Amino acid sequence: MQKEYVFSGDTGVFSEYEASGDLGIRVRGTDLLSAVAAAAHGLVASLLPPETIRDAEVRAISAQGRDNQEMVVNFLNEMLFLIYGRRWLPKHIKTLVLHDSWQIEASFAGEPMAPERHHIDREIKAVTYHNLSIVQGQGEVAIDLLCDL
Amino acid sequence: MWLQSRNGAIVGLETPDGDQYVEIQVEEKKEVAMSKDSIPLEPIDSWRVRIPKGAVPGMRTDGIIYTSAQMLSHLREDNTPQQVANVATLPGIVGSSLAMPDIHWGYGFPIGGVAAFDADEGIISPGGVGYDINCGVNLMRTDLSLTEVQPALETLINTFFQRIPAGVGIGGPVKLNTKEINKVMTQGARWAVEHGYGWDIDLSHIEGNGCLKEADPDMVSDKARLRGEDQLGTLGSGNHFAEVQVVEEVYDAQRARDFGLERGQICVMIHSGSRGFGYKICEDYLEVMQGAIHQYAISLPDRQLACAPLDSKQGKAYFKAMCAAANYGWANRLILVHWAREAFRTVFEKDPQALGMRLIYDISHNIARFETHLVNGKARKLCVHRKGATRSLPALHSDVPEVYRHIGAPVLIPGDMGRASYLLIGAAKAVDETFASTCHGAGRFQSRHAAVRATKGRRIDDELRAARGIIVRARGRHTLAEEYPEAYKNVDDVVEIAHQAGLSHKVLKLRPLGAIKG
Repeated sequence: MQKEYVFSGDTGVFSEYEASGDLGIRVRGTDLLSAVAAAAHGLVASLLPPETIRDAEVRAISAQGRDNQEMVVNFLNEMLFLIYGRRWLPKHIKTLVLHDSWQIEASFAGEPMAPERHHIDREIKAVTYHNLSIVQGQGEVAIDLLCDL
Repeated sequence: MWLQSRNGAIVGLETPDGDQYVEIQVEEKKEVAMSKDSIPLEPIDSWRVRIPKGAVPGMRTDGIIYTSAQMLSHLREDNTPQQVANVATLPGIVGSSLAMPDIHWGYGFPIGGVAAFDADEGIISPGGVGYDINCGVNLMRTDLSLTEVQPALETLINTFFQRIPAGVGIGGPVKLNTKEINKVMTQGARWAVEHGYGWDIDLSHIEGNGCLKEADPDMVSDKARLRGEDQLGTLGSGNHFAEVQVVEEVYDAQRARDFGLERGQICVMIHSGSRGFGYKICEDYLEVMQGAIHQYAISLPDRQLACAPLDSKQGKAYFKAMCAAANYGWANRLILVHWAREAFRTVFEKDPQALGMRLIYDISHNIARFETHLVNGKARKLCVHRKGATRSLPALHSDVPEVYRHIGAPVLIPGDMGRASYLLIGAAKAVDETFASTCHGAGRFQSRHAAVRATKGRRIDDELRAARGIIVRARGRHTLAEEYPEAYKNVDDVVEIAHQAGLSHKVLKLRPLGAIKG
């Protein structure tokens, strides 16, 4: 029977760190889902103030991997596609479910990009595997990742 | 920094702040990183150092870095020797893992990296091309002189800013439906000409006539197409630019005349690539390659080097998709040339043909190509990956466009927005030593965060105007801070190494007068 891990609502903490020409994001959460949620929110916050995004619609994305690293990278890259490809801005996570086979599904509250209110002047090409680490410690999961600008 | 147990196993992580996280559960194999000083760099000659095979476990060949004594210390801080050594572990690598003088770290392959793989036994890696497939540069001449342009410079740059779509996520007036985007993917720069965004003669002044024939739209995802449907003819952001330049110094007068250039002459240089279309293709295939490395049992020191055998389904698919993105990039840059010509038409009220606005050349610096090279006296078909490296072809080389075959192909090296760019010419020594490759640009020196800190409270546009008379306009609030000149290495140093090492020869230096950025 497949196990599911449902997001607790704890969105963890994130920060940006120095990384040559690109964007380093460091997150901490109480568990993997919380850390992934922190990474998702951190990604959006690195682009524009989340408070400028309205809670108008809901959109879902999903991603799959062969391990946690691949799942996290693919998930965050799906988010980037939502932002740059579909021009839709996630404000916050509504649901986040992790299935046993490294499959993750999320729904976000947000809205379509409105140029008069939303100014993104940073283009993240992709979330990369470079120096990617997912470290699970005592009651905490830390993720470090680098985004190509 | 990794925390290690006594037997060398990685057991935790220490952040730069000093926090330590001890791993209870190791997720996957991580990059094996040596400390920055432990990779030996053995001098070969004045301009090259060698990383000997075996310096890092799994190396199949040496690494060779073109550098100078002055740049060596920065090289170590950057830890790029590690990346050069990592590339040397890839299956089917032929010759050495190479790095050009502008080397700095990238994803998997270093930027400034060149690696060739046997067409039958070797691999292809999206990390060896880069996210911005066919990022490249072109240079266009004009008949105008500095004295003619200077009075109208501000108007010209403002017109560039109005006419040339630039900035993050900014779409342009060229909209592509499914049929047309397929044509762009297969026709490349010719699509631009056929739709009125370039001249027929431009095609013979673009590497490979601006088209790789192996492109296959069926290998490109719907998501990549969505990214590309309104970005054709747009500049992008970051270090992309459209710049008005003046020929400041001529080193080879005959070659300069061959290109129709002399001191004081006005040129336009454009730096851009395949935009979101190319980024998405790279990302799509990095995901495919993560599966391929398991399927073909390829062991990697860095996951970002994910690859597949060239003759595999995945390898062939990536190459065809990469060609499609490359063709999009060439079409993109030619349309940008068109916008620049139109800006000159508006400001000088003359037809661009009458202004002599001929394209000198367009080169790619992020691409993988099948090429034939002599290796130990035998001709071999290789897949040469250039990521932040430019092709350098001497006179009489069969791949030099006919118009330049008697002198060699131009090499275009953009610098930062405050200092200089260069036109060089291909050299025979590059064919012998670097699979006909040379450097591509200045390379970043400071992180974006450091650049923003260093420029806090400063108006970079005002400083450039006051100190150097350069007019810059940028769409992004942080662009000028992140891209200020001192965030980059001095391109003079990079080009000098390439010149002295014989990889390409200086023809002339171009000084920026004004630029637009995203």
